Amino acid sequence: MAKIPDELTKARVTGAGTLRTEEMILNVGPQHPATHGVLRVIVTLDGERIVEGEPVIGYMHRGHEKLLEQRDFRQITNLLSRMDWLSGINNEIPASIAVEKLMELEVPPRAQYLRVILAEINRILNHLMFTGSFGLELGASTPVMYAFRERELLQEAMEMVTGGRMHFGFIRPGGLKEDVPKGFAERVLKGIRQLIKYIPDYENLLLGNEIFKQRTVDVGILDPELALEYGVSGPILRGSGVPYDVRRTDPYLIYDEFDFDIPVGAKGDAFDRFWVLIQEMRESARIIEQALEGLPPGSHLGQVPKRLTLPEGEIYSRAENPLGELGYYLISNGDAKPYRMKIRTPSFSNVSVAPHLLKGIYVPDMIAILGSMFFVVGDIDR
Amino acid sequence: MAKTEIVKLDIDQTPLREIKKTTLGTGLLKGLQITMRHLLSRSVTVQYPDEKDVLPARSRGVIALKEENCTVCMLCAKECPDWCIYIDGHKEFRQPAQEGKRAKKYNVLDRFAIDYALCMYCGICVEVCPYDALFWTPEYEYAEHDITHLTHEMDRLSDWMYTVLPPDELDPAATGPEFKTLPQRTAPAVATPPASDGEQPTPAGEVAAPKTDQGEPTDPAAVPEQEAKVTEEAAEAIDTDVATGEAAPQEEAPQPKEEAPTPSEPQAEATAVSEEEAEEIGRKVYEEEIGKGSDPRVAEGRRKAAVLRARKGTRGPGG
Amino acid sequence: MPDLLQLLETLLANPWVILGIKLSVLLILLPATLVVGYVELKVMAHIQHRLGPMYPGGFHGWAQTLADGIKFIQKEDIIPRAADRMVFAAVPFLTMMGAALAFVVIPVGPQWIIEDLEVGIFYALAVSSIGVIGVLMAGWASANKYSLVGALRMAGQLIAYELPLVLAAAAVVMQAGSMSMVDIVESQRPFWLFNWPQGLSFVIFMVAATAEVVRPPFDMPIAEAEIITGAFTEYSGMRFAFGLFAAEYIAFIALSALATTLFLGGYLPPIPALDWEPLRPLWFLLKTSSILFVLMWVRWTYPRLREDQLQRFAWKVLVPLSLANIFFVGALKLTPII
Repeated sequence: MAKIPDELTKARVTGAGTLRTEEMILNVGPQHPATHGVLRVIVTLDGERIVEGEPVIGYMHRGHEKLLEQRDFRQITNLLSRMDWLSGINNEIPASIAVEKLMELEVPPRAQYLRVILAEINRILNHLMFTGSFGLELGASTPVMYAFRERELLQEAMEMVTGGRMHFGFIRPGGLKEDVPKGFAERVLKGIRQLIKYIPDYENLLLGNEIFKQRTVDVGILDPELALEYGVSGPILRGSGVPYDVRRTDPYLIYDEFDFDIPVGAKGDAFDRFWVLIQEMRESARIIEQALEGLPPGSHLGQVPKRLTLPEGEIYSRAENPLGELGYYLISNGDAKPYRMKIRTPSFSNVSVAPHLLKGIYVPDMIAILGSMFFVVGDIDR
Repeated sequence: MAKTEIVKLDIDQTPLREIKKTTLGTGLLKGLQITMRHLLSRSVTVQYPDEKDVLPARSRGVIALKEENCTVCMLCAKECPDWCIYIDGHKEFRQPAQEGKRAKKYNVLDRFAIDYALCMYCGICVEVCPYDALFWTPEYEYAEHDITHLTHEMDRLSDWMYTVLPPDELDPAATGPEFKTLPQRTAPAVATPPASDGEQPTPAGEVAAPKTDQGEPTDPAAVPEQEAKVTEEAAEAIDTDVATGEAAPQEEAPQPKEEAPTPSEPQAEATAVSEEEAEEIGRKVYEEEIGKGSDPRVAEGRRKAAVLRARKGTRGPGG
Repeated sequence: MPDLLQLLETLLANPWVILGIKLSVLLILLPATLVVGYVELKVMAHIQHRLGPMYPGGFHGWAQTLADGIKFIQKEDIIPRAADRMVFAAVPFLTMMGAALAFVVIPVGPQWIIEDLEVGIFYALAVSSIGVIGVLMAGWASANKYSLVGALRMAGQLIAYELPLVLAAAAVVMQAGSMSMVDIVESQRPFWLFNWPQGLSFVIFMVAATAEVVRPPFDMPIAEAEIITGAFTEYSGMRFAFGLFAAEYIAFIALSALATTLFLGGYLPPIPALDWEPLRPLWFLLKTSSILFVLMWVRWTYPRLREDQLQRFAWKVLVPLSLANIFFVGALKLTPII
């Protein structure tokens, strides 16, 4: 067969390569069901393929850092729990640790144990929320209801102790606001057992589902080096295979006393991130069981002066929040209020890497990627 | 599945887990099986207006005001991060019991309102109230069509008192903060200015209050009086690195002021000693209550009352 | 008693009664969407460990969808300023009509059919695609980017899924040797409950039908979490209710009824002994409802696929499969089995 001249071939397939298309700019958010609040992503679309995606933040900026300069520590505790509203206790703990370190306060062991228990319950609450919402974003509307069923039991335990369901305001420099009421341990154990019983359901409904795998495996692969460059932390970094967990690398509270594993992903795709999230619930449940077993009798509050006045100085304290590393850089000039309190929130760093992942994918993948970045807009904007 | 090269970090190597993935084909059927199982089992819904969850006593639903206990000290309003508490009051004079004595001044509450549209439900007001005039109650059904109706005035806040639950019993292992042994008050008063940054060396024990109140508010009215006291007891202030707390300034401070224009040295020492005794009595009452098996918080309340009574007894008229 | 039955049978032979029955099939359609909508709410709720609507109407919230409908009618009809008003307003009629027309040829019983067209199945599949024109119009007329993306996804999905759907139906037509719906049902007499030679066609037909009615896991054109109900982003009130919900449920019922007719023996009873004329609509309804239930069950279990994955699945898996199936049915046709 004779070779067909190039011009002829080209003429025959006209339209496939030469059809002029225009890029479309689509505003996803600030009001959009998949952005957990008011994150806005400006995406440039070529058909359904994303040429470029740029997150725009700041729609929920509440001036936390400035506000903290005008508040004493009891008020700060309550403000911080509003920053990442899914992990109130976890936000409060490092702030108290900063004050304790600066003032050299001693925290009784019982308070340490209770802090760990509450923090891990809060981690489970947070992870359950994202388990549900990730499914919802991928179109599976049932897991979120199951997740809320499990959440409710633990949420009740938290309410029993702190009186709040989201904004706990329970951690105080030197310990806790109050001791736990009778029956707390039983309640928590009941919640944990139900959670452990139902985690396989989530795994089978989502992780094991072929459609879910189609949507998440090899979608949004986050290179570990890129992740580290952007300061990504938490389940997202661990999903990329980096076993970095502040609880293990820089143990605070009494995390070094507990036996728990750090699940890490193999590929760094959305599937791995979600897998890590689910496994972390198991690990948290393990920690809670150990902590409840070892919970010593004693005081919930150390010797704390009536008026908390920080000595002059500065300190950085950090903790493993459910979403990643949370850090407070506290500068005090000897006042009851901090002179400056810089907050390093996990969601901010985690979302900042998103533009790299949003290139050259389809719109539905963007939803899967943003969903697997597990962010809270309040945590991004503060 | 190929593993990405893990960037070497200077941290403990933790166990890496292999990703366990289900075998192909079964996933879809398993999902159907799970949903069918749930379809056939009983649902867990609480049918809200018909059935209601029992909320724990600590639930932060709405704040109730026990009007009689309020002394218009304004602490709650000052400490409120949202400034959503409105208080108005005026001073009145109580006729003295005996002729020739000075009339006793006291505060009368005119208005107490909380704007629940602003309130962030942190509970700081309840915590700081030194006279237990504010309580949390688990009630939550007070939505309004008009935002202005969310400002609950004194009558509504008082009505909420009927819904206040008794506090939950504490975990048996909870002991509460320990009492620190009291500093000896034999040192002579030294007139050195306090080098403290707000540490108040005063009778211990108050810190064991159910509402732990460290981080006491900066009360401008109370500060000068506190400092006067600090001057008296500066010696101890140096010894005690961390004081365990003190009675709320409002409780104590007015008393020397009311009592006499000349708080002379020996007198001060006398009150100090009696104060110690009062604490001793208080501790006895506390231990007795605990021995009887009362709730630690009840015991704490009794102890507080006993201390106050003992103090009044030694301080003579006007107290 | 036998007299009564005889009376019933003579009644069913009366042309006026037959006309009444035909009309009722059409008139029942709208209430049927409400019932199916309600059942879906309940199935969804119980799958999710909830109770679902419990208050409207008193008993287990039976009037929920009715109340929803009334609420939708009361709502303001908003048409965006940039929208093409005429086209925008016409969409709900088109989407609903396309779905409803298919009912003309569905045999609820041998006489319970509005018109037994000779090209029944051809007609049914043809009219069920009309709705897509409505969706495309909605996407373009709304002057909204999300709507446009949704409409284009819908068009792509239609092209991908119409082929397997038609090929699966073609296998049945081969078996029956006729396109008339009644003939197709009658040809399944040897198999009664399940037309097993068409097992593969049934699976292909159900998958394609799910995509056709845009239900999860193939609901990309209306994916709430991605493009916010796609073409119907700008619709509100009654137009939204009719254009999206009513049309979806009518199409949903129509395709389930079609599947019943093609594969489950339509109005034929599960065992030959129960073959009695007045009971036939009951069998039909039972079979249709079980298909509806299975589709609901699937819907609330699975996440949604991606549009390109669906295209790949349709062209690379379903189309070859259905062609192979046609070959298989053709081979069977040579044997005495069918």
